[in-house]
Amino acid sequence: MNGIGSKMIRRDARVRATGEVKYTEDFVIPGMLHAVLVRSPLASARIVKIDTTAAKESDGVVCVLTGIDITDRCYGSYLKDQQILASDVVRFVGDPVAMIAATSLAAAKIAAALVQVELDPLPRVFDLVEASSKDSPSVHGNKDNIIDTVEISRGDVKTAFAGAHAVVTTAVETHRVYQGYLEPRVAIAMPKTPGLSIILTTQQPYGVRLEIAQLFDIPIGDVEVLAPALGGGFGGKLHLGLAPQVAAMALATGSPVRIVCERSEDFSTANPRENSIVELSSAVDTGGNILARTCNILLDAGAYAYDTPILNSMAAFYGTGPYGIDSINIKAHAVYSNTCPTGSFRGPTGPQMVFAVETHIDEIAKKLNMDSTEVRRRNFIRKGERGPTGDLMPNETTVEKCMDAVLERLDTFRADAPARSSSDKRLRGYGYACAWWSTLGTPSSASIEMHEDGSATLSTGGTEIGTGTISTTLPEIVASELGISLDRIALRSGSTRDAPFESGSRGSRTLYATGNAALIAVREVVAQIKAEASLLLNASPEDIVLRNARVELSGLARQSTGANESADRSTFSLPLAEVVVSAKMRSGPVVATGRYRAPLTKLQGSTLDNARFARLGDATFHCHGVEIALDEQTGVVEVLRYIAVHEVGKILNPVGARSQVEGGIVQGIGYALTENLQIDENGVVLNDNFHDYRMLTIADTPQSIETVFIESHESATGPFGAKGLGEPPIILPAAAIGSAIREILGSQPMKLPFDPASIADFAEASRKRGLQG
Amino acid sequence: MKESKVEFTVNGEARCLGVAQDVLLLDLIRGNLDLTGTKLGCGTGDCGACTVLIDGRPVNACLVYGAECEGSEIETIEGISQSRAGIAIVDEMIGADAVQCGFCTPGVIVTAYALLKLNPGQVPDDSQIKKALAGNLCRCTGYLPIINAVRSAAAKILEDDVI
Repeated sequence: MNGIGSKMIRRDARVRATGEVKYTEDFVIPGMLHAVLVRSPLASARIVKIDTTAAKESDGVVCVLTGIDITDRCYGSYLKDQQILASDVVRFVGDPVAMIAATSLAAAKIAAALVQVELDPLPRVFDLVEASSKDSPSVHGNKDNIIDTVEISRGDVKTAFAGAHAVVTTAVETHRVYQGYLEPRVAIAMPKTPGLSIILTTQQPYGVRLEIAQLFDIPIGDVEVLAPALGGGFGGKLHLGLAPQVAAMALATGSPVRIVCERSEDFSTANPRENSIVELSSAVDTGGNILARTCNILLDAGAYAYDTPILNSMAAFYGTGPYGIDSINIKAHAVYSNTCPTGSFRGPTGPQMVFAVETHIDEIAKKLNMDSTEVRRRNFIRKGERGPTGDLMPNETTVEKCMDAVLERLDTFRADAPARSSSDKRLRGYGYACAWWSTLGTPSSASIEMHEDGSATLSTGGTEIGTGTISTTLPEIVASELGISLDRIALRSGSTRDAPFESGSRGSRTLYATGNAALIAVREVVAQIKAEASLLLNASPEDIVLRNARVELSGLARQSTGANESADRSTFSLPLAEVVVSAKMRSGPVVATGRYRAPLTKLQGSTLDNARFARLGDATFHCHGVEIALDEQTGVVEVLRYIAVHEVGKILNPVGARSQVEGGIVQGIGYALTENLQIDENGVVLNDNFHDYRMLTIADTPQSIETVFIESHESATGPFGAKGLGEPPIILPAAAIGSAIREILGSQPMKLPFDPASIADFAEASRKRGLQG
Repeated sequence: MKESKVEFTVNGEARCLGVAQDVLLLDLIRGNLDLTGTKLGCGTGDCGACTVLIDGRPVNACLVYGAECEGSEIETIEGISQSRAGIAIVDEMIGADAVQCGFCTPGVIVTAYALLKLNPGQVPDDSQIKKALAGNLCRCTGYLPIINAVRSAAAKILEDDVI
């Protein structure tokens, strides 16, 4: 194999670094109109009247739309509960009610300010617990706010709890965070005959195509969604974005229309990670074995469902963590509120579920006066056991190996902690957390076409989100199978017109599922080439190999036929190009499409009610360890050194894999310490900019992050044994940092984030408790 | 809005543009000059994706009016990435895997270029690199590869004497 398993240089890195590559915001279409949305200033209200007279007369304005001017169909990937422009009721601050298209952005903004929106306030609800109660104001009228409830159960929970040595209960509360992609969300729609063409900042062009086609009653094939270079997504570009609005305007005006979501608008109206409440109870015996577990989860979906119903099932699934528990009852509820709709964010529900489960393990250990490492060891799920949904663990579960590697490194962190200046009074603490995660095996396709010169085109609808998987790793896989160099592989990707269906960049799935589709396609192409070569070389296909841009008899086959170096080379070796041309003329072009969907393993032993996520695909295992410095006076926590150990099967691109881990950890540290999307008493987002919403800067990043991959358990189904890695790194840091705080203070806050004010208060309370005790 | 004529150089080339007084330098660069390597990330000066050099100093182009730039020398990623020092930084960014989605990268490179230009003859230490780049957000890499890339680019530039 060429570069597989060794350092790969990103093929698209240079054009990105020099600014040559075009992102969606860089496209200018001749005759393009500029659109802006008029959004609700209230969190919950009935629309009495929208007066657009003045806006329509404003300079440069071409069209003003309100909800009554367009289709009354609703959209939403799991529940069709959202209008393109609200026509009756607004449900959060920022709900769009009107749209302006004008010849310049400035003209559109001036006109937007002239739209008169008359609203009649309705009761509203912002608090998750209140929203989930029967007495809550209803966000979607005349029904309760529970959108979706999932229940997973197994065994006799009641009996286990009744007979337990101890029962431990832990409740955690987590906050909202923003994806923070640097590229704003942008949508451009252009009418075409027939249909519609959309250029969009999207991780999932095919999902967008489907919903736009349904909304506007256009055959799916007549809608094309083009995804240029993507400037980060992290789940925030999985949904439709502003595509429905801009499509409606393009159809209304017959002109190309562009909308750029301003950053403050994005902070207030995109789809942040949901805030949540997770309550866990475990029945344990004297040895620390977990006999039974109950879990109740509330996820705040905000004003519209988006994909929270599926995230709800994911949260429920992760209620056990990587531990084998015989008796379980896990319930999760997705709840509407009058806040910005929430949705996918890298590792959806992972950070809060890992925080809840690992904190709970530490609480069990505390209750039993045991070492928490020992509690983990006793309960880790093992090969042959079944996960919460009855999903069999077919292979060795490597979480314990990951944990041991982290523990060993934490010991050296403790031993070699650098001497501190006398002014540094901060306390050092060490902590760790364990987790498992899934690799999403949803449908993928990829096509390979061989050309007359022996080069090839790889076509896939997969989007290059920045990991290098589509731009580099997949072409490397194809090149290595074809025995040609990487520069002989052309790539067409990211748009629905390039290739058949593809599920998109999500769920740590691209390398695994799109990679498998590409591998299936290229192996079919190789079979076609070998079939042709077997005729040309008068040999059996299995004796033929592809290497160095040639198709030839293997060394062994050459020996057995007596061919040697003095023989005419064309009797045992032909240029790949010649074989491709010959095949084309004899039997047709050399081309194949691979289609893949991960096997749906049999679930057994659990009762699943409404579970939309039930399998790990290929399970991955993880442990993170951290060294922190905590200032008890100010409450500031600094992450000094970090160790991440992951088991994600075979690593195909070691440098790219390490980069995924480092980037995910730094996002995860932001989640734990500094990031917190907050609203005021009227539901208005308070910190709608990168100054007040604090993501880590280069000055805040830890001095070192060590990344270790354990390759002992390779995937049975991934390409060359690879599994997914994109999401896991972000799910552990909050739990690991919490455990380090616990080491210092003897206990830890049960609420995220660990911001300075919360930690200072908690440290003060702990100190007082200590004095009293 | 009243238009006025503004003369400046962009990547060494003299330009004379008629601009309304409320047009931002960022929009002039991206719109009028079609130099789209300078990115609109936030529009509030918080992310650094629109960093350009004005008379050798890094500035967020979203916070400056075009009309303020009369007589200035402006450098963007398109010019800097063609210079010997710029090429060295680009190469090291790629080698260190400091380019993921790439949206912040031009701004990071422009800022790093200014750091090295303004401190010739030395390899900056990590704290200098962090201070210089604290206004350039990156959501993908976690920053460590960027620090490594800037440090090694500085060493290369010093060795080859290209600044």
